[in-house]
Amino acid sequence: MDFSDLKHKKVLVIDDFANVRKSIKTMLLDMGFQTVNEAGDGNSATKLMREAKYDLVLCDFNLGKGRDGMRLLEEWRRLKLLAQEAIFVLITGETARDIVISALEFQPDDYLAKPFTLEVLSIRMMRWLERRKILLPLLVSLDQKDWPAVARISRQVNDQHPRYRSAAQKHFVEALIQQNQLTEAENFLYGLLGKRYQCWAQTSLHRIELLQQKHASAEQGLKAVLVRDPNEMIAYDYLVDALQEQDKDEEAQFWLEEAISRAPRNIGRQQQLVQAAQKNLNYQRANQAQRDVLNLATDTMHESLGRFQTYIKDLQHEARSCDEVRKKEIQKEITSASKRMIDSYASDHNARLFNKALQVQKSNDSSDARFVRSLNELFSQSFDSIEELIPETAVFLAETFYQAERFDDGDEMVRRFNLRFKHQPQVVRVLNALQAEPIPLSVRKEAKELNSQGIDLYRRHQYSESIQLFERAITLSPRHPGIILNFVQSHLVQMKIDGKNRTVIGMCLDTIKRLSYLSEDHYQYQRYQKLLANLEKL
Amino acid sequence: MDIQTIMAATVHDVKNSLGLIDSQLNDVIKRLHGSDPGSAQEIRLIQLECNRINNGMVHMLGFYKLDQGTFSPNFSDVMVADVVIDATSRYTEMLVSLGVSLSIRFADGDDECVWYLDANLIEGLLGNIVTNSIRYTKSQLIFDIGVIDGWLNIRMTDDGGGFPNAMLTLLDQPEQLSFQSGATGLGLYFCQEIAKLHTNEERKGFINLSNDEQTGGAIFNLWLP
Repeated sequence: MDFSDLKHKKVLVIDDFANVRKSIKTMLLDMGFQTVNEAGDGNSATKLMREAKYDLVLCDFNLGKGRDGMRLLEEWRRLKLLAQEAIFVLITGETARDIVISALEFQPDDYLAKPFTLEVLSIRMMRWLERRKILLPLLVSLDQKDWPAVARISRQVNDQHPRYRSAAQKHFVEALIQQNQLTEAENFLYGLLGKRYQCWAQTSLHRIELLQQKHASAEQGLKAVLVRDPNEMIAYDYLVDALQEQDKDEEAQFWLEEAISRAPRNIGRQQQLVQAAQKNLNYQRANQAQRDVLNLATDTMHESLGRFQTYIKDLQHEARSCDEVRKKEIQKEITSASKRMIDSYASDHNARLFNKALQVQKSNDSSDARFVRSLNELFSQSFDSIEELIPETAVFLAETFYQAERFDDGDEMVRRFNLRFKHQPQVVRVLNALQAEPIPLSVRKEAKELNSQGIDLYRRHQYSESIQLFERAITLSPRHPGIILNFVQSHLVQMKIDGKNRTVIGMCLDTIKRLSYLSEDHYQYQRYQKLLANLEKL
Repeated sequence: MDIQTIMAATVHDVKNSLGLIDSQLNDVIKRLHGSDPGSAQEIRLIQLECNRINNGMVHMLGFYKLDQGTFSPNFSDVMVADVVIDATSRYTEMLVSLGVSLSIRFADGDDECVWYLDANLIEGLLGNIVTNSIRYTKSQLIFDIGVIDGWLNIRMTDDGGGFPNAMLTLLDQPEQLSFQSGATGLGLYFCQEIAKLHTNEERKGFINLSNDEQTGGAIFNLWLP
């Protein structure tokens, strides 16, 4: 075979064993490569990737401590360190299917099983180089999201190169879907499936159903796909979407768990499980998944200070409603997570503030002078280097003050943090929600449920019954604008029927005054003003 | 830890060790190549046995997973030639040194035949068959690839003494797997199970064995729907 142009190509070999690197390098030099660099771990490999443009990367899956080959591929793609024309090959001695399936999800250009001979490498090399030459125009159009071009080129590849037919067909369908040519995509897939069953084609059909809002039918079809091919990971994702669209949250969680048991190293899906389990009020499962995420994220680009803090906060939430045994576990876990956070982010202002707030929350005793002193200290420190504050820390600090029933301090924090995060509306929303309801998530959910039942009754003109429900909701969530205003409004309507009642008016005024913290741009502000004025008229 | 994890970890460790042994043996073969070709040849046969141990480990884990229902293939459209080449390329050097020629032939010259299969599993299956044939063939291994009546047929023919009778009937009566004859036939049984995982509507993959009427050599047939 002709390897004459190899001498201009650059190769990077990554393996934590020097003798393995040496033996691969010798093979590559024998084949005619002249530039072969080596790296023994993720950091030095990343450094080399930043310094030079490699045509081929041969990377072992297992790199000892730190990131594995899969995470490196993920990271370099995200950082655009891997040129579109570069080839990334994952070398693996792994036989464990969950690792192989997890690795497949990251779509390296190929796999090479260890050990391999020069002949094996030569044959694969020829294939990689040819594949890259033929698919490069397609990859470039994909990168530019130029879907008409993707459709055109993949059709050509499909006609001219049988070896890449499967890849070309998948890209063709993707291009049609992206251009919203769903019927064309369906017809093409039916054509393929008419010849024989192919898992990806069947899955794509159900994906199109999802896009057409045919959730139930997609659900049924995707379940059938997974009976036949339980390793088709993308089918799990579509199935979870289909279930969540139909509010089948428990079942969605079940399928997420199934997917994770097959490919446990996908951080995105683990993260989805956290949310699904929280939605199902299964806090213990959510926190287990969060712990898995933290472990998977160690030393990778996924590791972040915010992740640690979210985890600790969610553990605290769980502790409010679990048995004593679990409570003890949680306390241990919080201690260990906060220690890990400080170890990883020793010099970060946020880590220190968060841990301090955590300490303060533990010793929640307002009669203790030391507690009061710590709170005061924390309050002033919270505004030091406010620009460096991350959202998780900010929310946690404000929560600490509401929990200590220092509402004015809490409100002041929310006011200043809202300014700090004025360009991040989602953070402002969280802070506002906290200010409205400085209570745990589960209680918030219960209050919300009572509130919506109350609204139902109100709509059916059953005012006195609705008042009872709003009243119960207020006991749970004493500062929520929506609930308070519903409560007041129901009383006002009821009084139109029954006549004025001084006690009720006084009680309503007391309640509505809890909303004096509302800022003018709050979406309930107008309503608040109007109802307040109506009350005052009475 | 569950038994599957323990087995997977064991197979992994053994494979690693075999990999190391293999690369060290390669170094020794390189050194002996000029000075002592006879010993180099003996060492190649040791390498071959290492491959068989490797196959055995993979089979053990595979059978366990099949038994537990946790063995799930990954099917896709792949070029059949690539699978056959991948299964045989690691034996190139060994075949040359043993004076065995390897050829891959395509019916009607269709070397671009694409089939829906699990490339890893079929590569392993064919590699397994090659490992065994190398021990018995005299001078050649021939792969014939073609599509017959909607089935993909991969046939491997050698010019050795053929399969013993006990082997030929083994696939019909798996309970005859025995330790007494020396060869247990476990490898073939595993191949049959792998073939069976490949289905197309009502049809299921299978293998069959026969001996060439003229040369007496072994013929291994893999049929995938």
